[in-house]
Amino acid sequence: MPRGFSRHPVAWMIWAAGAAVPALLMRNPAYLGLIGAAALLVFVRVRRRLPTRAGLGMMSGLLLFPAILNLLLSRVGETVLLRLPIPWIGGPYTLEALLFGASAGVQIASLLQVMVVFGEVIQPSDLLRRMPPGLHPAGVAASIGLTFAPQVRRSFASIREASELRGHRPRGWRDVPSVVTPLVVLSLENALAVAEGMVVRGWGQAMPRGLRRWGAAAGWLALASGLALGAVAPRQSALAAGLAALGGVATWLSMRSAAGRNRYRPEVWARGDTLVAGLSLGVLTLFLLLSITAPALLTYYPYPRATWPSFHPALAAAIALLTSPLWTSHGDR
Amino acid sequence: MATAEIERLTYTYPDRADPALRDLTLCLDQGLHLLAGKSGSGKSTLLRALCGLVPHFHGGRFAGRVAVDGLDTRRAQPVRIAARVGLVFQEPATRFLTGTVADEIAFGMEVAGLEGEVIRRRVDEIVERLELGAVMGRSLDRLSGGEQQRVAVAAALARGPRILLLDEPTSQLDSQSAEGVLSWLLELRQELGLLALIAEHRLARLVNKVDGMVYLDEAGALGGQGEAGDVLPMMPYGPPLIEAARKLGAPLPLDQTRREALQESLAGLPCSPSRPAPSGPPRLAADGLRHAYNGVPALDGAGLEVHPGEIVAVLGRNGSGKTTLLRCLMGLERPRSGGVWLNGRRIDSTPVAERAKEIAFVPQWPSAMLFAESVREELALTLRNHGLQDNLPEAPDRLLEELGIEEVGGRYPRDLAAGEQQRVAIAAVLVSGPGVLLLDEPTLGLDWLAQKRLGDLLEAQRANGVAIVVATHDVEFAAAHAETAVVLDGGKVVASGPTADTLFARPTLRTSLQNFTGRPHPASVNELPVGLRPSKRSG
Repeated sequence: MPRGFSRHPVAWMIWAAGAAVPALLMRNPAYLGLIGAAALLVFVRVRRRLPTRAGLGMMSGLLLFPAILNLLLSRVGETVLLRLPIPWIGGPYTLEALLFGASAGVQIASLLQVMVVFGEVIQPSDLLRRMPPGLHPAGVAASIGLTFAPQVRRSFASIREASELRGHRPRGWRDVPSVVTPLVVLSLENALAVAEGMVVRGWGQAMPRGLRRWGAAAGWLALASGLALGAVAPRQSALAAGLAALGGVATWLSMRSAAGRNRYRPEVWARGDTLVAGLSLGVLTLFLLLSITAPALLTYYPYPRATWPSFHPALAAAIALLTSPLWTSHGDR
Repeated sequence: MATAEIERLTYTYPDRADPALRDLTLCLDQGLHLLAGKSGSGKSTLLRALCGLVPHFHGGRFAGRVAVDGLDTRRAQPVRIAARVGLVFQEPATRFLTGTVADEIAFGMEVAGLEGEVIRRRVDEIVERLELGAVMGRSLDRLSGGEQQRVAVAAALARGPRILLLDEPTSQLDSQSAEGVLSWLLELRQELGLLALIAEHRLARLVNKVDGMVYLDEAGALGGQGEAGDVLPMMPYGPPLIEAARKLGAPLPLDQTRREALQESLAGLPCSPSRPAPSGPPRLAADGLRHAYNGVPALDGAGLEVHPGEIVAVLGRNGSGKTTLLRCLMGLERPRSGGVWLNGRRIDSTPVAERAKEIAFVPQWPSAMLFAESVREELALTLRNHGLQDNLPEAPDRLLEELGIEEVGGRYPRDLAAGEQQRVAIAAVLVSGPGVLLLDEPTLGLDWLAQKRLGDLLEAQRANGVAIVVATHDVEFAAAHAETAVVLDGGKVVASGPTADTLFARPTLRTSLQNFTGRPHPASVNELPVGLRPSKRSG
């Protein structure tokens, strides 16, 4: 947990779900921007520093790249910004295409900001301790995923430092192409090292055996069948939900284990954790319900003629609750 | 009693033509066993075979049988073997799974489902034993290399394995920390019947403490097994005492009588004077450097001077500030106060890339510097960065030849052995003809041959007038090559002067020969005259 900003890992996981799931469900740039802003504020509080220029530059790139890409590739929309009389790449370039691409950029940037906070506050071990031993490969993948961003950051710094030692003068973003290959090489080496280290430390040794193994397999099958049924036959939603729930319970019962429950440093669930988790669950539930009952509120479709995205103050207020880690951090630990 | 049995093991990594281990048959019982061999002789592979990573994790072709504590490693999965076998990797930092020291030590026990109270008791015990109390609350990525290695050893020992495999566990440790680890292993051998197999290049620390020794030859086959005294003469190299006996023409193996005779011979040698103290203005100087990481002081007024043609060794315990001092000299860290002078000119505000023309720096793990497609391209990259491609200070091919790596000039640098990577990294920074060379733990992971080549390289650079600073734990290497030693403690210089005398004055820094003779000279085999006749008693 970084520098004196304690929250229970489960509270953080629920917070991340409360922020990331709505961001995945919607395309409305106004709400997405608010989610990104809330995550950015939490990041600043966690790290006790403002985002770096490089970080802001990367976020700007994520916003701009889909917008420009969509502007160049899409020919739909009535508000023509530019028309080039060139075969293949020419034609009308529209404001609608630009806006639609930009909304995708806001979505990616907001999701990334949430995941950046998640990577800061959750250690791989927090996830591993809570992962059923039967999900050994998923645990390895999650660990590699969680350590990936900080590793890449460290590798990037180390490559830049090595370049300077060889007389290379830093040129900011223009250095990026030259570091891609070494970065990939280092990242793969690190991923392999993490996976090897986990195996040697005994991660996954309490794999279910005998009947429990079969129970777990049946549980997975029921869970997957329920989800598949829900997707292909929406009218059978009750049966699908029942099947998925049954599968989930069977999987959990078969895979649970005593391993990882005891801690060197017992994790204390404080009042602030309840508040963060409760509010984040509330946001998550609200947006899940809206995505089913009023999906139009969450979408943004600027075609055929550009419009402002819809904005409802109540939803903005709900998203603002995702800043709860900022104002529940005092005096509870 | 813990045992490890290996029967006719031949193993080849995927996509490799030659086996890493060849028809190996071994039986190890409770006790401490030293595993020796050149780089690439298969030491790390053997350790991985004993904990099941080979072949379960790495794949490849595996023939023969390995059994640890009664478990056949081909049938049992590595995660099951992990309950009985612990492994400490050579580069532990890349394997950490948590954020802090305490969590890292406790992780394996938590995964194993031990009670919280047991976990806390064991962590406290280990922390006390390995003197980790001072770093307990620290973030793992803020520890020095040696501190990280101690944490990795602690984490491996935490689960109380019956077999412990250690891949160069003391290579980054200062002598006191290394002694701490070894004495604990010796106690565990008595208390728990532990079997520890320790792969090491630095034999001097271990040969007198281990119960047995295994030597792998260059082909990955068994070169010898038995008591250390019997195996050492089978090897083409040995710890300083054996090398001293060889140089003096004394017979091997060294039994008690021969040891006493050798002691007499060495005591009869005239005290070699230290190299003459360098004179004239220093090439590189630093004074009053203060630096801290996140408020934790790393340097507290440290400084040094190095003259053209001089080698200065910077020594000190883990976390004493050696690496930080080198990084401040290079400009990679900006000290809070103090200054750095190059040829009398203050260079505090000179950027790293510009300093790199005059000051060459090779970090602890040189592979971090190597990313080009080939060794030759690495050198060309430096020349291009400095704008020297048309005005070569030194012909790259000649430099590669001098360093003995001309044959690998066309190969991908990261595929080379540790010693070769080290020399490629040095070549990559020396090609611009700098006047100063800074090396951080240059002997880390190097076998005897690579260390000897590195020593020869430094001597050649010294002869060319290059000023060299070496931060190292390896007192034997420092005594062999450096005329001046600077000792750091808590970020301060606590001693400096002629190497042999400075090392002898601090019992924890004495070399094997100094400990053996009880005199400051000879401090290293390099000081011995070749072909001196041994004492008559040595027969």
